[in-house]
Amino acid sequence: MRKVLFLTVIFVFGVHFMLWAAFASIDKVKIRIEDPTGSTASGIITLENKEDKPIEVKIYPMEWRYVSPYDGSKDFMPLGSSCPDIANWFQVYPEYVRLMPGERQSVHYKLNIPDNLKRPCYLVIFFETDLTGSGSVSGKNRVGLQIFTRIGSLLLVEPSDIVVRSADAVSVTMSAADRLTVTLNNKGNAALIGSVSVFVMDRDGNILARTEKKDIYMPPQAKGDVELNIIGSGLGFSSAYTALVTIQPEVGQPISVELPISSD
Amino acid sequence: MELKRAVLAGFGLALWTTVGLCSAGLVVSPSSVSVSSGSVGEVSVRVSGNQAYYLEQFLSAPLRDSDGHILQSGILQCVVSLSSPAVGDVIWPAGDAVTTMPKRLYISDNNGHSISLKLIYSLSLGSNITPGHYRGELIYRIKDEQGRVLSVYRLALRIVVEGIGSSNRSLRLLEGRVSGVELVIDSPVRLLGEGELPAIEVRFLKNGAVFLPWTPLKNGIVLKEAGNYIMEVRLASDVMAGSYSGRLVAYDMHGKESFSVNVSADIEERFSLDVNDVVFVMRPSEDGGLVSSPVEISISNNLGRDFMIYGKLNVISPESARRKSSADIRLEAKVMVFCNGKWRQYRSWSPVYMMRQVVYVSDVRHCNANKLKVIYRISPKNKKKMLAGEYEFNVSFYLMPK
Repeated sequence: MRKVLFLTVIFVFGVHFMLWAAFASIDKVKIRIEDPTGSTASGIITLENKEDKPIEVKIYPMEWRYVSPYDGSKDFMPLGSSCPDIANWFQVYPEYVRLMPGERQSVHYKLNIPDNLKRPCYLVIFFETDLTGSGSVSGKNRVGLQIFTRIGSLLLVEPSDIVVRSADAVSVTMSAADRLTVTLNNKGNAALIGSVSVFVMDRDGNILARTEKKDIYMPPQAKGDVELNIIGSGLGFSSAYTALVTIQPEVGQPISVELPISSD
Repeated sequence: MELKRAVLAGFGLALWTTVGLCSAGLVVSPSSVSVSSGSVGEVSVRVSGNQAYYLEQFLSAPLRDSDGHILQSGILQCVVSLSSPAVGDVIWPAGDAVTTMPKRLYISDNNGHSISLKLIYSLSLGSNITPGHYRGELIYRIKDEQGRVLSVYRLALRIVVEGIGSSNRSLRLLEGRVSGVELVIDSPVRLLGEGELPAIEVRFLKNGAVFLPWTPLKNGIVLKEAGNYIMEVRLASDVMAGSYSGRLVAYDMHGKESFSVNVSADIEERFSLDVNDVVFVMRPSEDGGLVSSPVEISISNNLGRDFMIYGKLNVISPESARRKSSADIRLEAKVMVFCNGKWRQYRSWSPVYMMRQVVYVSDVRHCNANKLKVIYRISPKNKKKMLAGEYEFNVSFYLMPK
């Protein structure tokens, strides 16, 4: 009986789906809005059908935040999860478009930034295309398949009058002969987007080694570790070494912090 | 002068209307359009109707200059796009040439709903074209299903082919288009790119045939053989978004500049995700599970910006459909990435959960990957066999900047 069932499975899954690829392209992927609270900001994202078939695109917003390991990974959340009352002051339209081959469509967004907003908001506009339609084969041995693509355009709403950018390096640990672990603290209320690197110095201030420069993406009010590889040959641990940690934010001034290096 | 003659042809196209708004049902605008050298002409057409119709276009006669010389047929290309939602069909193949033969470009639905179209005209090079000013007339015509003419609109058309001595010796490069100039040389010449030029490729045609194939213009190109050439230029596929301007400079073999062509390009930002030719075939794997064929993902990203791809796979098995849970199956995926010209494994078989997960994190400094393959494996838990029945798959991929 088992054998019969197994063969049935082979038959069911021996089905090919040749799907017509269809996709949309957008022209703005990361938009920083720094207009102060109480003002209105708006803009346009252009959506284009690069394929030779019509496509249907669903457009909708969500909230997001950066998460560990701070390499750009994000969590996505429904509107209103951390931005109060967002549905009343953020609009994106249209919510749905059908694009003919080569056709372009403007997608508008508008923000009436409330006076009482206390901290930045992080939004994403998703452009969703269903590549499959129903994607299923009718009949007894039906196999259902749906494939979606979603392209995201990030909106960083960081009103100039409330944004606070502040970051610090808390500690540096030699986690291996060729690796340092830097603990960073984003004390501000905005996401920390930038890079971090470390120079290893002896007590006379001579540079003995340097690490790679690593991009970091930390949410507001977060503390976390970043692993950095030492370029070239590794170093043995010495309590005489100090680390000059340099944080280069995408927006704002570089931050340099000199710290002793501890061992694991 | 080493080069007796170097003819650089810039191309301009001008369109203008000669009559006012036409009879009911067909409106064409603008009333006057002129397009600069090497660029395109754009015409908007609006058709309003209450019965099934089709729209066609053609040239009333071959284009001629003031001396009566005829511009060869087939160089005026047209791309049609819809400016408003439509229930009918655009049937004009993109880039098809407008000739004196009437060709349909749009067929309405049975109710003849109104439609707005955008027609973009450009010039196609491919053989020698004599510089000059050519004039003609474009005709737009609406007919009903029985072929009766409902409305006609005539649009005056001017094409300008500029020769040497013109102040407008330039090429404007647009994505996906080929632009070109005519060169006539009688001794060797070396072409080099200077200034903020985008990554471009050039090729040379001679007597209508390819003389030198598409070649990146990185280290310059030497033309040793005298003759008439069409030099065609296109953007390389990996040009970053931005505005570029520079020159293509021709030097003789003594290093003296002979002539130059200004080149400019505005490359729009592009960020998209495509799932190519998906074949989703499930086969039994060694442990009695199922393995999907590779799902190939292409990324189009000319921003030089790092990105992430998230994936999400939901499977509803016969058992999970009954129990409303997926406890009976184990999901895994492995990821390959096309990096620096070859495929390499990015992630070996790793557990996949029925939630959004990071599939790939780019690092454009080391690898500007533009293709990925994701393979899914589904195994029964507790060494059981897969159950026969209906399996439903829902696969999602997300692309976004870091």
